[in-house]
Amino acid sequence: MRKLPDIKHQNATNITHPNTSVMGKPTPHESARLHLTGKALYIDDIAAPEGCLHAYVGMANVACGLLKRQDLMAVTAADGVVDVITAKDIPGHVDIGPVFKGDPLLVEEQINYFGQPLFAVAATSRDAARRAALLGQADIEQTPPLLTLEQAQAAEKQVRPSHSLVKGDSALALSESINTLSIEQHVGGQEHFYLEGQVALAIPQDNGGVLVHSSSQHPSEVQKLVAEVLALPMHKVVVDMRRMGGGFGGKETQAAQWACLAALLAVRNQKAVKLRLARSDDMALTGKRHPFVNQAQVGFDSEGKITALNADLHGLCGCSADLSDAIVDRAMFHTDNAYYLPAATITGHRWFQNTASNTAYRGFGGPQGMMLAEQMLDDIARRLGKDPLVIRQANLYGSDQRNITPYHQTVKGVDLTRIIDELVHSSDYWARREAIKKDNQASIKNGGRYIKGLALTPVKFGISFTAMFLNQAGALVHIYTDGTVQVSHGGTEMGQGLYTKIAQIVASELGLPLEHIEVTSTRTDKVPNTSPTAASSGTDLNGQAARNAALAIKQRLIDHIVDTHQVDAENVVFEDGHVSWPNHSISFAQLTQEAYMARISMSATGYYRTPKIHYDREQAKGNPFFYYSCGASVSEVKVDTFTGTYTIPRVDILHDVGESINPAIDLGQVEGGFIQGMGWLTTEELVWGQDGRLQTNGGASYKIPAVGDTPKQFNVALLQDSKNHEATIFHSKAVGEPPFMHGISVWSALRDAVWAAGGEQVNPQLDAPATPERVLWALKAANSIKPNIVVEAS
Amino acid sequence: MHLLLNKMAIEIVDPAADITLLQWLRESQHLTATKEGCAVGDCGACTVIVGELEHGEAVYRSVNACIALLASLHGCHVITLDVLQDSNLHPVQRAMVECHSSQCGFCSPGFVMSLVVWWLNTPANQLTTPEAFAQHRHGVELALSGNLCRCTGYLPILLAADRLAPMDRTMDPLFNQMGGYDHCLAHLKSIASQSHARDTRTQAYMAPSSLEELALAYEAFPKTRLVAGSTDLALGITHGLQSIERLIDVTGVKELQSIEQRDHHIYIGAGVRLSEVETFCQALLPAMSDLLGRFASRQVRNRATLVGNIANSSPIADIPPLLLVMGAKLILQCGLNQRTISLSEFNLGYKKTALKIGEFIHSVVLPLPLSRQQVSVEKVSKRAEDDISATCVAMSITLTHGAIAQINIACGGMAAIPKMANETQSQLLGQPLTQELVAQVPLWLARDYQPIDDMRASAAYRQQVTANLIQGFLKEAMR
Repeated sequence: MRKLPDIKHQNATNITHPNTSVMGKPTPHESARLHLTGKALYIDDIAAPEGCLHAYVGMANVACGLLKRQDLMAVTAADGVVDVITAKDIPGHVDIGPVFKGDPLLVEEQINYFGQPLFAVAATSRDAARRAALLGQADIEQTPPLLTLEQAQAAEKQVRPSHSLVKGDSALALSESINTLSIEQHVGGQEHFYLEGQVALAIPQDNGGVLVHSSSQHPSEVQKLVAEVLALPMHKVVVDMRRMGGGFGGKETQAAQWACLAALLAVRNQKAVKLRLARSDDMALTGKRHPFVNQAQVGFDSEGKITALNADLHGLCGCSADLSDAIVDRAMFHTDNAYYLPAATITGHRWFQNTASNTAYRGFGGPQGMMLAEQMLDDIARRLGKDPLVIRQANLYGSDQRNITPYHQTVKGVDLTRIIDELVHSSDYWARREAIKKDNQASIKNGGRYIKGLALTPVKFGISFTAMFLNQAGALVHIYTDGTVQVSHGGTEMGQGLYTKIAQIVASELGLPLEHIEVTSTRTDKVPNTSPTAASSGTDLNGQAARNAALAIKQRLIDHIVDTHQVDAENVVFEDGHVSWPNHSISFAQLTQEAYMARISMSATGYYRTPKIHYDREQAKGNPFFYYSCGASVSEVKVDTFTGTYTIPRVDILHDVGESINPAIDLGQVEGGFIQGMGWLTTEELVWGQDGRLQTNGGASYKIPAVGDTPKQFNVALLQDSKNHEATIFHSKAVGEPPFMHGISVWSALRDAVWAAGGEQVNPQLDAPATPERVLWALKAANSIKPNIVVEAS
Repeated sequence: MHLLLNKMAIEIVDPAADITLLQWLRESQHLTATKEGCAVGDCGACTVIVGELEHGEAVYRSVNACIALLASLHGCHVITLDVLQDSNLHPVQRAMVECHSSQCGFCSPGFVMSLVVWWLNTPANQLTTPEAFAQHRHGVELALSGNLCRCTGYLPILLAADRLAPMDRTMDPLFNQMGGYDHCLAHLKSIASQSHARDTRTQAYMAPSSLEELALAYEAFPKTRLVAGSTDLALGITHGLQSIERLIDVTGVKELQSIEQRDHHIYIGAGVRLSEVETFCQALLPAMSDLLGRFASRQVRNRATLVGNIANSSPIADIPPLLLVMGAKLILQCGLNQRTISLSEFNLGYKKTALKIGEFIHSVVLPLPLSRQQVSVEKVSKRAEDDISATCVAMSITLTHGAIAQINIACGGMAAIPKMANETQSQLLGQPLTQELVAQVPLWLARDYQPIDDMRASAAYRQQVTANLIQGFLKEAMR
C-alpha cells in the first residue's frame, strides 16, 4: 500500500484498554451477539448466487437388496428439474468412505440401508427437487436385512475384524477370584439432532474447480472427497466453513456426501447448487452413535476391589466401517473408566447391520465402554451390600501404584480422589444418601407413589486422536498495518467456542484486546491438510498452532525493536494494545506500521503436533493419550412407580478443565454435555422397523431433552487450582466430550431407585436408554410396581 | 391479504393456501434470522411473534413459522428477530449474551422470540421467595416448552430468564424499534379492517368472518379441508410434500371465537385456541389447564384449537379423554342446521368421525365437575414436555357413603380412537370402593383396550401403566 491507515486514535494515551488480559476470562462467545440478533449466517442463510439450483436425493425403499435398474423418466420430466444423476455419472471415485471403502456416494448395485441414495436431482427450487426425488422407479432384488446383533453374528458379518486389549491373565485371575459376576448390558445409539441439518452450497469457479460451503467438522476431508469424486486435483477445490448449527460428531464424516453431490451437480451444470436435507431424511440417512451390547465377567475380592475383567464389547456399526474401528477401540480404552483393572481382556467386535453407517458422536465409543464399568461397580456394591460410592473409591486408579491401564499406559495427572472428595462434600452426598433411604423406606411402607435414587459416577477420558497422525494442526496469522489481526486455523466452530478461545490465545500472546482479533472462516485454502474438529482436541491442537503463528510474528517484531532501539528482547512487553520497553511505549498499531515500512513480514503459519504419544495397535500397547480429562457427578432422581417416568431434582458436577482458557465456555460445555449424555441414557430412543426403516425420524418421536428436563437444582463447578501437568495450551484441558459421560450418573441413580424400590433385594437390569417403559419393567422385575394395594400390614 | 411484517405493511394478493410463513420469510422476503430446524413444529428454531387484534388491543404470542400458513395471517402483526437489531440489544438479548445462552446459535433466534413474548406478557417478579421463584421457572418452562437446544442444556437460558424476571417492562424496546406500540396498533387496526381477499370467489385460502359465510363456503366446497391452527395439517405440506389448493379457515368466524361459562358448562367455539382454554380453565377445571401445560408446546397451543384436536380424530389426541370423562357434547353444523351429539358418538374409528359431508364442529359444550366429583388426567410420555402420549388417562369419580356413585374413565393412545373404558366403568359403578375391587381393574381393563406396540411404547406397557394409574386414582379416592 502507498499510504498507511490512520491510527492516530489508537496512539492517544487516554484510549488504552485498562485490562486487555483476556486469558482465563469468561468472555462471551465471539458470535453471541450475531446469534442473538439472527445475523449469524449459517449455510442456508448465505445469499446464493443468481440461478442457484437445489438438489435432493432419491432414496431406496428397502434396507437390503440389489439395484437392478432405475427408471428416472418421471424425475427428469418433473417440474423444475434441470439434472438427474446416478452413480454412472460420477466422473471420479464413487466411494467416499473416510478410512475404508464401503460408502458409495450413490448406490451402484448393493443397497445397504433403508433410504440409501440411489440418484440425485437438481431443480430450480428445493420443493421441486424434493417432489421430483420421489418419482424414481427402482427395480430392486430385495434380500432380508441384518438388523440385530444376533443376525449379524449368525451371518458372521463384521465391518472390521475384532481386536483385543490384554493385560495379565484375566482367565486365571477370574478363576482365582473369591467373587464373580456376569453382566450383559444393551446400550442404545443416539441421533445427533444438531439443530442445523446437513447442508452444502457448491459454487462453480472459473478455473474448473468449485467452492463448497459445507456444514462439516472436517473441511479438508470434504475437499479431498469432492476432488476425488469430480476427478479434480485438490487445489481446484476450496471448502469453507464459518459455523455449524451443531455438530457433535454428526458432521465429521456425514457431511461429505451432501457436499460431494452438490459439488458434482454444480460443476456439471455450471450453476451454484444447494443441498439441504429435510429433518426426517437427515435422521434416516445419516449415521448415529453406535449401539453396543456389552458382556462381561468380573472378579472381585471381599472388599469389592476388582481382580479381573473379561469383556466383550459388541459395537453395532451399521452398513460400513466409517470410523467404527477407532470408535470401538475407544470404547475398549474406556471400559476401565477410572478404575484399576489388575487383569483384563477386553475384546471389541464391529458388527454389520443394514442401517445407515454409525459414526462419530461426542465421546466416540468412550461412553459405551464406560457404561460397562459403571454397571460393574454398582453390581459389585450391591452384591457386597455396600454403598456404590465406597466401591468406586476403592477401585480408583492409584497415583504411584495400581496405575497401569489395560493398554499399558501409566495413568498420570488423574486426581479423581480429590475431585470425588470435593464433590461428596459440596453435594452433601452422605447426608442425602441417608435422607433418601429414610424417604424411600417411608414411601414403601405407606404405599407411596415415588421413590428416589442417588448415584455418583466419575469420568476419566483419554485425550488425543487414537489415529496418531491426526494429532497435528496448522494456523495462519496475519497482522495488518492498523494493528488488527486475522487468524485462520484448521478447527471448525460448531458452538463449542473454539473461535473464542483461539482469539483469546492470540490476543493474549500479542497483548491485544479481543476486538482486534478476527478469527476467519475455516478454509482449505488458508490452512491445508487439517484434521477433523473432533476428539475434544480443537483448542489443544489449533490453539497451539495459532499461538505458534502469533509467536513467530511477535518474535520478528521483537527483533525489529531490538535492532532499531537497542534494547534487550526480554525487556519488550506486549500488553494493553501497546508495546513497551524501558522508557518507551508505542501502540501495537504503530509498531505494525514501523515493521511494515521496515519490510518485515507480518504473516506466519503455525504448526503443532502432540508430543509423547505413541501406540502399537498390533501389540495393543502404548500411550495413546497425552493426558486424561476428569470429573465426577452426583445425580438424584425421583421415579414415579406407577408409570416409570422420573424427574431429576438435583445434579452436582465437578469437572477438571485444567487452567480454564474461558470458564464460561467450559461451564457451557460441561452443562450441555451432561444434558446430552442424560438424554442418551433416558428419553432418546431409536426404533427401527422390521423393514430396517428408522421409525423415530423426527422430533415428534425422538425425544431430546427439553427445557423442563434440566435439573431443578443444577450445580456445576470447575475444579480450581488444577493445572494440566502436561504442557498443553495454557495448561488447559480438553472439555468437549468428557462431560457428556456425567449423564451416566442419572442412569446409575435410576438403577439405585429401582434397587431401593425392590427393598434392596433385586439388582436391577436396566438397559439404556432407560425410558419410562424400561424403568417400569425394571420395577416390575424388582416386584415393586405400585400401587401395591392388595395387602397392607394390619 | 394484508399483514404487518415488523414495521412494514404488506399486501399479498391471493396467496397460495399451502405456503408456510417460514418459507415466505426466508425465500420471498430473504429474512434469514428465522431458522428452519425441523419444519414440523418440534424444535422452535423458527419461532416468531404474531400479534392479533383482540378487544381493541394487539395481543402477541409465539408461533412456529414453519407450520403457520402465510394466508392465515391476514390482519396480523408478524414480528421476526430481524427487527431486534439495536446495537444496545433488547433486554432479552442482553441477558442471553451475559448468561452465555448461545453456543451454536442456531436455536437462539427462536429462544429470543419466545422469551421476548414471555417477558412482554408476564408481570415483573422479584423472585424474593422460593414460591415466587418456582412460579417464575414454571412460567419460563411453559414459554420455552417448544424450543429445543442441543448445546447448552438450557441452564444458561434459564439463568437469563431469571435475570429478566424482575425487570421493568413498561418501555419495551421491542416496540421502540417499530415506532412504538400505539403506532403498531393503529397500523394493525387499519390493515385488519381491509378484507382478506380481493375476490372471495377465486380465493385459495378462504377466511369467512361469519358463521353464515363459513356455512356457505363449506357447502360450496364440501371436500375442502377446514383449518384452524394448521399445526397438524401443515405437516402434510412440509413433511408429506402435499399440495393443497384450497382451505377454509374457521378461526376468523366471529361466532366461533368465544369461550364462556354458562349454567355450569363451558362453551368453547371452534375458533378458540388452546392457550385461551388453558387460561380460561385454570380455576374452573384445573385438570384441563394442567393437561394443556403438557400438550405440545406453547407455540402450538397458541395456534391449535380445542375443536381441531377433536376434529382431527387422532387416536392419540390428548383432550378427548378428559372431554369424554366430563360428558362433553359437540354442536355440529351443516349449512344453517345444527345438531348436538355426545362426544362419545363422534369418533367412529381410526380417523373416522360422525361428521356428514358439509358438516363441521361449531363448538364444544363441556360440563363442569359437580361437587364431590373428583377429576384427574394423567399423561404418560417419554419426555414430560411436548411429547405424544403412550397413554393419556382421564378419570372422574363420585363416592356416596363409600360406594361408587359415578365413575368415568377414558384413554387416549389405547385404541384406534380416544375411548371410554366401558367394561371397567360398569364393573365399578355402584360397588363399594374396596381394595379387592380395585385389584380387579387390570382384568376388566384388558377387555376395554387392546393397545398396539409402536415406537412410543409397547402394548404391555400401555396396559400396565393405565391400570396402575386407574388403581392409583381409586386408591387416592379411598383416602
